[in-house]
Amino acid sequence: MSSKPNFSDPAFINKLITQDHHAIELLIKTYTSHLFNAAKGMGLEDTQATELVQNTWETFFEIINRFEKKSHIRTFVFGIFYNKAKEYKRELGRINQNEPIDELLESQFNQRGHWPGQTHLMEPEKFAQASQTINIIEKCLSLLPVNQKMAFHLKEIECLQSKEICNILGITNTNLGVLLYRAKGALRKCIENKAR
Amino acid sequence: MISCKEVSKILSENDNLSLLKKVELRMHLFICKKCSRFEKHLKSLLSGAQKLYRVKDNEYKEKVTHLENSIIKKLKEKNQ
Repeated sequence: MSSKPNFSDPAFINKLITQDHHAIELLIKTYTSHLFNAAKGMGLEDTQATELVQNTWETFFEIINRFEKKSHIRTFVFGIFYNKAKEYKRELGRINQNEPIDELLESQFNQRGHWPGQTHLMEPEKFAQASQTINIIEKCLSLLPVNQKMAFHLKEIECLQSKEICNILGITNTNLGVLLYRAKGALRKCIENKAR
Repeated sequence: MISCKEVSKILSENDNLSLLKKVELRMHLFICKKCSRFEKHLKSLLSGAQKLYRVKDNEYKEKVTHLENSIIKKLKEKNQ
């Protein structure tokens, strides 16, 4: 990707708006693999994942002239993708907006904010080995609720900023914190159980 | 001194921290075995998830190339 242009450059965005083929191809060849991988990660079959990605791009080029150049173009792409994905995974539209992270945390720790006495966390080497086992990590990820998976994916695989993710998912920073906390906690426990 | 509870929140959110918070976090991890293990677990699971993503990306390569070409073709036809 050495020839990748700066996608935030207004000149590049204008090329997209005027349907410049070169710019369109570059963008599609940069993000289609990301979108397809994310769609498969949500548990969609190949045909559905393909359709979702196609619909995303179709809509993208229909509304690109509405793109406000304030955010990164990938936020715009993933925002459309996420909205379309709701048609396939209805749970995505029902992200719990009100769960306070403090209560969630209270339930995991004792009154002084320490790990409960009986907590045992596995030796890190053993855990690392299980994490690198494709079957284990794949299985554990597949068990996550789809909205947690989406938040985890955007944050840790796409490495987007929290602000961008909140824009895409239409949630607050606190909501995102809850989703990530839950996703990572569940993944950690799942891997630990499978490593025993 | 920050609590284990706060440490687990900071580690899960994985956001940019102030220098002070970073120092507090490192100090806590240095003396707390459970949190130190928790941090290592999170690092491992992230690297595992990223590895899975790369494996899948490779697996989907052919399908994705085909998909890219068909989307580009469709758009060209539409704009003609």
